[in-house]
Amino acid sequence: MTHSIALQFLNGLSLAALLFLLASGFTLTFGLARVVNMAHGAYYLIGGYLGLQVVVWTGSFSLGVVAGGLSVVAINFAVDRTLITRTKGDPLLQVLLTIGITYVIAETALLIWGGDPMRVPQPDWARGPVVLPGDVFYPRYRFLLIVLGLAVAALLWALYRLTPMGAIVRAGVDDREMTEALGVNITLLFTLVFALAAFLAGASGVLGGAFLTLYPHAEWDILILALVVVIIGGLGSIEGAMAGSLFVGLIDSFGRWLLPEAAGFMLFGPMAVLLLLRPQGLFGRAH
Amino acid sequence: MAPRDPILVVDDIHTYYGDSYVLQGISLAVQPEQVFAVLGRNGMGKTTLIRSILSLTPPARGTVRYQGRDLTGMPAYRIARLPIGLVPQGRRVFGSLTVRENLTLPQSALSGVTRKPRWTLERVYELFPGLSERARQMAGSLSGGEQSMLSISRALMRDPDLLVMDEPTEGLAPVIVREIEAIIKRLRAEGLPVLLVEQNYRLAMALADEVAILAGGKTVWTGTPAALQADDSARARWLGV
Repeated sequence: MTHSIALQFLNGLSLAALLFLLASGFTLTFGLARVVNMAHGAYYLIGGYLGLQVVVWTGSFSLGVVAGGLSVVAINFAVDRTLITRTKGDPLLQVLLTIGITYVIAETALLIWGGDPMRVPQPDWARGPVVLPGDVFYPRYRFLLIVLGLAVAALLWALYRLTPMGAIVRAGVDDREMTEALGVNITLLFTLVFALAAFLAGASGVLGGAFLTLYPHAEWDILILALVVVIIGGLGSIEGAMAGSLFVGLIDSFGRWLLPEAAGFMLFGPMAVLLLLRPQGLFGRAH
Repeated sequence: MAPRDPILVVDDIHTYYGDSYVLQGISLAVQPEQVFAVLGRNGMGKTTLIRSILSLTPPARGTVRYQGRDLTGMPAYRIARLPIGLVPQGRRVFGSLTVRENLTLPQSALSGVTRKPRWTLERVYELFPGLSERARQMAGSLSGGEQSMLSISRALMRDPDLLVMDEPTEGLAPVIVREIEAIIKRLRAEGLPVLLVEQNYRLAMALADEVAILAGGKTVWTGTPAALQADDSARARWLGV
């Protein structure tokens, strides 16, 4: 019993780590630029497939992760400059547009990689189990993902909270115009944050594709979870993305185990209650 | 003293805010080492004037020249880098940054500082000792008076050659208003020109070398404080004092 609890806990943590990678970029993009980019699910998918291709060609998993991330940086740059910029900040247009982009990307992926689930091959150094205290055997890959998630979370948090660059991003979230009126080139800052968010989305597709597999519709499955993360945590907050990821990861994992027939309710029920009590999310600020 | 070129020239600017025609031809010139006060009742376009000068709400027509340079079409961050310091209406400190982070932001790597700033944390803390005690506190938790000190200090950290202040004493206790008055006097004595938009008639008269009155989006009166003091009809008509 305790073994099972430990396993579910670790499963929840590894899903949380993946969700954090995807949701942290989404939440920063929104908080800073007020851009609602629903294409993050599609970025996850296309980054995953492209990374998979690179892993197959080169045999290097790390190279695949980097390639997945960088290719999505390029895709996002093109999408932002040619399409999102035309919405001129209208959130409804942005949502509709980026959902449309999601369909286009997903359909393209279906044409290229087909409809069967594909798994990104895990690297040799991440195969097999790790033995954790209490004789808990756990897949090494998912354990390493938890470590990576924690490391990225710590790094992002430190960047955001402790460095001058992070202070500028927070200032931009607080009051974009005033930040600009003090001499900060906010457009350049946006470009940097967008690139970081896109990289994380693409890289998370490769990382997720190695244990959740990539398949048509995976973009929506992961987007919905990421949205719940961001809504629970509060839009625009790194700490919120951390808390939200843990919440969604653990609820999803324990929900499937304890109450499989009500797994959906386990996730959305608490979210609805939270939104009633605290519409801005756990760490979000009221507007 | 030989006449020098004005540091800031606003030449017949017209600005729309959405559909409303707010500035309908404003002209003024700020001389070096001068405090230039803009007076006027609420809703006469004072804040829009500031926003137009700094390209936050660019004028539809007319030009703004700073040290002889036309600012038309220049993005706001480039204007800030000239450098011009802004103390905005409502103070607008970054509430989720610490006091210190608020102050260092104008001199960050992304802020385009090109010369060694004359204003440093030490100098600002010397001017406002209260801020140094609160350096690590979130700016959002400061009192209104402290936030206005922070807003002024933040503008100084931009190391401005011109300081633009939009109602810096709005909603503050008289003792803090006097403190800010003393600060502006000191800055002026150091040779920093100030464009000051004020509702506080007494303060503007005490500080200004030159005064302009805005009404209905136009400059309706320009002159020295002494001349305004002597012009009962202008004061009564445009300011109600």
